[in-house]
Amino acid sequence: MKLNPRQFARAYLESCEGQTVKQIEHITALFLKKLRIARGWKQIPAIIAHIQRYADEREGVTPLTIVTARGLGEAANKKIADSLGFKKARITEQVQPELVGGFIARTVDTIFDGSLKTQLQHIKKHLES
Amino acid sequence: MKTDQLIETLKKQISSFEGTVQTAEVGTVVEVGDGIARMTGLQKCQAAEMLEFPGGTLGMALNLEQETVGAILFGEYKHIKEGDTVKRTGRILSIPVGDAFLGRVVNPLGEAIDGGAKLTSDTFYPIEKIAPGVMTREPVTTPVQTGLKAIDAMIPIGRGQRELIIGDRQTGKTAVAIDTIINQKGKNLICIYVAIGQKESKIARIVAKLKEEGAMDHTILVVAGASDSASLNFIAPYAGSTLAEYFMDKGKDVLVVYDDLSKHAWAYREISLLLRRPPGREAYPGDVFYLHSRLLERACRLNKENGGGSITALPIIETQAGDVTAYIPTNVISITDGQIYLESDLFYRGIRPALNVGLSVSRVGSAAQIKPMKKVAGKLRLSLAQFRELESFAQFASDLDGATKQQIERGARIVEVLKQLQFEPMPVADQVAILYAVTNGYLDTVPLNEVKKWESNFLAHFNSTTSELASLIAGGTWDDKIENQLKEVINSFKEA
Repeated sequence: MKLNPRQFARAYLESCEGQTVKQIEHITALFLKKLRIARGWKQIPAIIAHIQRYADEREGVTPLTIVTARGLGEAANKKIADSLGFKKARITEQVQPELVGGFIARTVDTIFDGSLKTQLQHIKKHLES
Repeated sequence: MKTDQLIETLKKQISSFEGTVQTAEVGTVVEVGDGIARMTGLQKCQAAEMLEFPGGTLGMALNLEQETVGAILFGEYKHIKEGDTVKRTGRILSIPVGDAFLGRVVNPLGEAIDGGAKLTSDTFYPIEKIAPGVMTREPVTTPVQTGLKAIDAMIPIGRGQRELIIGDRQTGKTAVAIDTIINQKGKNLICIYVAIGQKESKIARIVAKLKEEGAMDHTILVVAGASDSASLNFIAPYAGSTLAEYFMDKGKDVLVVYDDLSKHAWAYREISLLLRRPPGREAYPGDVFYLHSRLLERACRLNKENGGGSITALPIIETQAGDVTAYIPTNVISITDGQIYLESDLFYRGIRPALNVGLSVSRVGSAAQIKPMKKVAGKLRLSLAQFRELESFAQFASDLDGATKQQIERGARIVEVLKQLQFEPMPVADQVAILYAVTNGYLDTVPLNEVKKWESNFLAHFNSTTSELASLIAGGTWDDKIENQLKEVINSFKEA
């Protein structure tokens, strides 16, 4: 049976649940062996991403990327995350001067666009039509 | 827009500016190429939903899988790379529609490509729509006059019908469709010509001809050329149907030509294989029948309670070496209400339109035929069938009796009368008059090589002397009095 990265990640996490560190090391070795047999090396980055996502989900942590025109600093980023409803967020900051102002925040599958660049584009589109 | 107005609008925009945050569901591109993209994320994406890629490129979600979403891309995709963000729009793929589209050449996304003014509309229609149900429909009763004698007489098409035009390459399939469009001038029938995978030069020729004949005012061209992506070719007929539905909803009659659905099936096969859908017969995907049936089912005649509009569909299918039993031709034959079969042999023998009367059929159109044409055409089909049989028989027999000889002579004249040059559609009254003359033996004494000349002289005489009679026939009136009047006109012409 061919498994996808999500299924590999889930199987690994469920196997590790409630185990000691030594047992987890043993499970990891077996897991990597299984991956080698299944020729799934290429899937490792995707599996890691899924494991991270599962771990985040379990702990209620949201990975959040905040993009601004100038770096806002930790406190301001935390405020943005709070205002968007992410009380427990793992924040990554990015700087993109072309945003002009405002911010873009992105979780795994949602984007919150409050940038000046997008607002100006809307005005441009409106004027063109 | 004037400068003052522009500044005012800008001021208004700025004063009403609010730092709002827009939320959208997004995904990440993991694979892109050959006009398709595969994304992760987009958990709540719907089938046929519009997706926004970087640079404003649009796409449509087709494959919703456990891990990824497969989408087709419309337009330029070279700038899209792995890791790019894709936004959901929450809208099923829609195109703008409106009266402003009449007389324009547009691409399948509803954008003008004729160099004219930008087309804007507040009304959007989804390109995929479930066809009207049984209770909203009505039988076909009004004819679509193609202006071609052979078709209007023997394979009549009604408004709301789906009539397939099928034949090999270079047999005059497009010519039949274009003649039909040209003939709709002043007949309250909006025409939409959908070019799928056609050469740009051919499309340019068609546009020029329609403009020259003054037929562009009631026509829209939806063009996905041979150089356009398979995705645009795939949605082109649906876009044409969507535009037609806009006019049908307003109670108007619309004619849509899909030129051609063979190339549409090729485009869909390409997309399906790229999206790794399992191939079936001739590598087409399993739902290739549904691809065309859901498109052609949208052609219908609505009843009065639903506006009374109609969509007549003229799909075109190109066969290979006259094989009508191939996969796609048989599919479309079974979906449509009849077919006009054009044959290479007849075409090269100079019989144009190269209509094979034996294999062509119209299943519902006869109900829509006007009474005078019905009276004349009944005899015509019989005479032609007898002629075909006797013609092959006469090849082996030199000694024929008088009656047989006469039938062969008359048949040859009927074939001659049914020949018609391209871009010369004929009014229905003229058709009735000349077909009445030939089926009742008035041309039996005219030498075969002079039939065409006789026809044009007679029609000139018919139109100059009896315009009232012509309008009565065109209005669908036929009785002994009219028949006698027509006889008198023919006799007076013969005497002159």
